[in-house]
Amino acid sequence: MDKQRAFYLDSSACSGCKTCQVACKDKNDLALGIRWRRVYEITGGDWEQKGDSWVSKVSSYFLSMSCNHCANPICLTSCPTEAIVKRDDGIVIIDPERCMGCRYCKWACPYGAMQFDKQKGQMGKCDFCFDYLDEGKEPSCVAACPMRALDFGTMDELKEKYGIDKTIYPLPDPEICNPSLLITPHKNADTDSYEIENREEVQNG
Amino acid sequence: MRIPILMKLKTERRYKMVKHIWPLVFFTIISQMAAGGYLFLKISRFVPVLMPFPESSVKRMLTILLIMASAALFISFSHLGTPKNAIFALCNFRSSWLSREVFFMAAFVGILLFETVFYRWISNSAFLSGTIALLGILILSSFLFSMAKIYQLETLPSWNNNYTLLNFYCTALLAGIVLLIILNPIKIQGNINSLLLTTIAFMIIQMILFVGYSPATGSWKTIGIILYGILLLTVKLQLIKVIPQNTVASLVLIIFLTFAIIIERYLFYASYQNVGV
Repeated sequence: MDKQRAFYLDSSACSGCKTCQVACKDKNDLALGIRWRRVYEITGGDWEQKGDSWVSKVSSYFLSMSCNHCANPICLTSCPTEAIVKRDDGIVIIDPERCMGCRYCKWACPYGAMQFDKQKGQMGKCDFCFDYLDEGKEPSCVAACPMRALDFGTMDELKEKYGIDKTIYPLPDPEICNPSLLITPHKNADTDSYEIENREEVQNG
Repeated sequence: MRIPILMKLKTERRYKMVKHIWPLVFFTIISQMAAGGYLFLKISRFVPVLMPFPESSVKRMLTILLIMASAALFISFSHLGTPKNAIFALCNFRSSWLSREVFFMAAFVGILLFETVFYRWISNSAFLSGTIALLGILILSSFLFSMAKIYQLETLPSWNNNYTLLNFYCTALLAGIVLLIILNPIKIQGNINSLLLTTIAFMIIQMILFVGYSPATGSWKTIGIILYGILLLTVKLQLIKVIPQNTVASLVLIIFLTFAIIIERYLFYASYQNVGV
């Protein structure tokens, strides 16, 4: 889809400061425990003894993740009430007039995008700040990032600008949902070369 | 160029289930119990040797199954965050297995209600009772299939296998048979044996599935295996009449079976694992 909106993340520049996470919470007035954008820290490796000294082989990197507004959203096909819709510009949104809060989409989504709001009894997620886009502004997370690690645009624009199409741990096979997300991986993202120490922390958010 | 992702499934973990899943545990168990009972009733119409119960008890059984199915439906609403929007749950029949499950559940309650209300009229017509039986088998099979398919998503590796499907069908039929036994006082000696033999067969299948294919591990799984072992022994002893074939024994049987099924279903939900984050 030519107009498919997408996010770009430069994981090599991300410092894990969580400003994007806070900006999103502030803009959307999210309740405690709900994070439409989440920053994950992936760590691993160990210290290696060389003679009398110890050399650090510890590796870590950060991943800032929101909804990826997938080209084939599994949440949309799973939702029984058709509360999840995909706009012409590719942004996936939830219709609060139809959502019954069954949380099935939360099970289906492999990116942890779906968040259940106990107060409203319904699901919520990143909506790409489409109201800001209509005013010609950037999404709040992109505007807030001090490292300029986040960017947005159409999928074609981002591919032309960054030329990157990679997926890194802990993200799943992109063939499942075709996420509208491009990532420049951190140099430590080659997780085959070391043991990740905080898998449970990462997978439980 | 896409880098393939290596995701290791955890095989040793502490199982913990969130509170809002408990209504689903009881919804699936009660609805499967009622579905299995109804399915077995309808199948036995074509295979009479499986149905040693007098015709006079069928309406009472149907009424109880209707109450159970309605209770299950009511329980499922308590899982929802916004129940008032549940009226839209049938909208995505095209692609959502949850939508299909809701449809077939409603059809199940509908057919039970119809048959209970018009029982005398239906039972007097061989054509009508045969048609209802075939329709009932179709609806219930579709209901159980839809229910299992809900969990067989590509993003849920611990549930996306044939164990889920087999387990749901087996639980339904096993629980259904035992429910039918308890609903009918045994008046004629020996007639229950065919049902007990069928129960043993399903229990063996269920144990093999639970031991060999369930993603669960740990002490709760061991407890579940022990319970199924005790149940198997109890039914066998009842078959050879070491334990009397009476209502009290059947009541104890269904209580233990219900515990075993609850443990198994708890472990199923607690083994939830999603690819990605």
